[in-house]
Amino acid sequence: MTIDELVPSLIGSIYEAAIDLDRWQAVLAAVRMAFGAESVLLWRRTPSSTRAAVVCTAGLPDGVDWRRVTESSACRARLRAYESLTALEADEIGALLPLGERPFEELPTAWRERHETERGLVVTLIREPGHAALIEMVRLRGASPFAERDWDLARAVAPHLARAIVIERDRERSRIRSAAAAALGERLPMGVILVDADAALIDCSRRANEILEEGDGLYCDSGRLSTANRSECRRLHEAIHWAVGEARGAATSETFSLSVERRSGRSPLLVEVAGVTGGAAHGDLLESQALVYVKDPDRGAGISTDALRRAFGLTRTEAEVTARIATGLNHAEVAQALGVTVCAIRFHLKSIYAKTATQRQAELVYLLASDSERLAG
Amino acid sequence: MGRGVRRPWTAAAAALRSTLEAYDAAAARDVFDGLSHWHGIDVVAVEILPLLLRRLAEERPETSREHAARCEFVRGVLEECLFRVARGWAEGDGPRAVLSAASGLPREFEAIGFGLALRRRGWRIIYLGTEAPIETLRLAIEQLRPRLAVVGLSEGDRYGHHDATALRRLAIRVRLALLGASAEFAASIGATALGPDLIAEARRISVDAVEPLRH
Repeated sequence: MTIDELVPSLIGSIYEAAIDLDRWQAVLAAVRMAFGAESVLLWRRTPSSTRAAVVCTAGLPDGVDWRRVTESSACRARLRAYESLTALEADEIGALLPLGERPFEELPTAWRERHETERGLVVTLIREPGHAALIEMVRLRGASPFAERDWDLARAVAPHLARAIVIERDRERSRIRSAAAAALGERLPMGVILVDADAALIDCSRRANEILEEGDGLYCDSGRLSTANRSECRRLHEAIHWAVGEARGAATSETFSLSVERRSGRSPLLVEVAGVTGGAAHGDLLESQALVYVKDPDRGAGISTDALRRAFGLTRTEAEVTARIATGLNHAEVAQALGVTVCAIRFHLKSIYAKTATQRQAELVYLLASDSERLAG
Repeated sequence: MGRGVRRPWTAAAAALRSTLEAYDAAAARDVFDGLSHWHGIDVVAVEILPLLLRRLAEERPETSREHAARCEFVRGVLEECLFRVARGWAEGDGPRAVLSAASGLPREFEAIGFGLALRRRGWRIIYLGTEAPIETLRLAIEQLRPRLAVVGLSEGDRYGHHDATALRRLAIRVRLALLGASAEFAASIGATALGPDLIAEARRISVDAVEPLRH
């Protein structure tokens, strides 16, 4: 098939993938076929990611999960090499691949030596500060080298792959902002703060703004969420960093809890940190942010256990646990208040999640806050 | 009601709006699906959503921060709904249309809606996103040889009068339709300005472009 015949259908598939993440693998499979490659890897780093990673592949050996591809010894060397390549700043990548494309044979020796078993064609798709994307077509040693026809095909397709990644990135940003906006929608009884992986403040609810302006325990320092106590501050920043990582990589996210002492001597602020993404699952490099829920225990939430039992069919103990979770207590504090173990609280929470059709604590709290009028004591 | 007659979509917009104001994404998706089922996705996209967005813009909440949060939420939910319906729109064997939207609401949704309206009439849509670089547009037109290229313009954007030359070059290669441009400007570069009734425009363009293929 000639390039003129191949390119239109490839372009159609590429722009479909921009609006439907499930199609990326099919696109890479089509690219693999078009280039006669053994495998194809799409490699990406985004501004909020701490490292570069493969976000999609085609043609990897059977049984190799691309999310765990680094565990495959066959792929480890190539991925290490890519790590070193994409760990470079965008300008350096540009210097390494000044034309946006080069055969392996032309790459620096130190880099090439890591690819002894294969020959490949690497195309730089995106070179922006903090955002890089490369696609690699690999043929086994012994196969014919990439030729002029492959370069022509790469030149024809690469701009559209790059554009599709930009469209997809914009959509992901939109999803994140939308998800965060829902949480910041002024309906929660506690303060809600949206931060990035470095704890830089992006947005906050009105209640959170009041707490930050008080500066009693939690405040904003040069645009960064901070606490007066250094060790608390370190733990808060670690929790945010982990929450963002969880949101990027995992289908289920954990919530991180801590308390923040207040200089005024009032009860410590109760803080929960949860990652937030747009909900898509394209690799582990999507931009993510974290929501920090701040509860002042001196202000009650006023949830009725009877109303909880009626609304969700909870048992008496489950309703007690739920009401305390709604006030911002963490598992240990709920366990202490009810005189049971933390394991028992986790057991009850599983049942509570099932009955309230939620999957995590942040969702449960949001559900209760959204329905606060009906559940009020 | 006859073709081309604008209907009052106020009630439909209000139903969708109430779910969005409650930050209830799941309910909004349900209402969106229901409206699409009854009225057609193109009507929802080019008639109901712009009306809804205008209403939301007019009646601002208490603070600008709340307004911004609501707009972000609305945009995310509705964009997801539109692209969910758009899946597969590049497939088939109809004539191709290359589409670049202007950034910002409601223009972006109008462009996607126009793409959906074309799709309902048998077109294959290649969506290049918002503010697609002119070079990407040129390349796509050269490689795909589409029957139509649609470019959304916004006030003061890069496709303003300063880049009329680039648009004129595109118009030589393909039938070029502009969203958000005056008829005078479109005519000056050899393009067509799309009118406010985008469904009628999609119908008109489809009759011109698709019907001859069937005979």
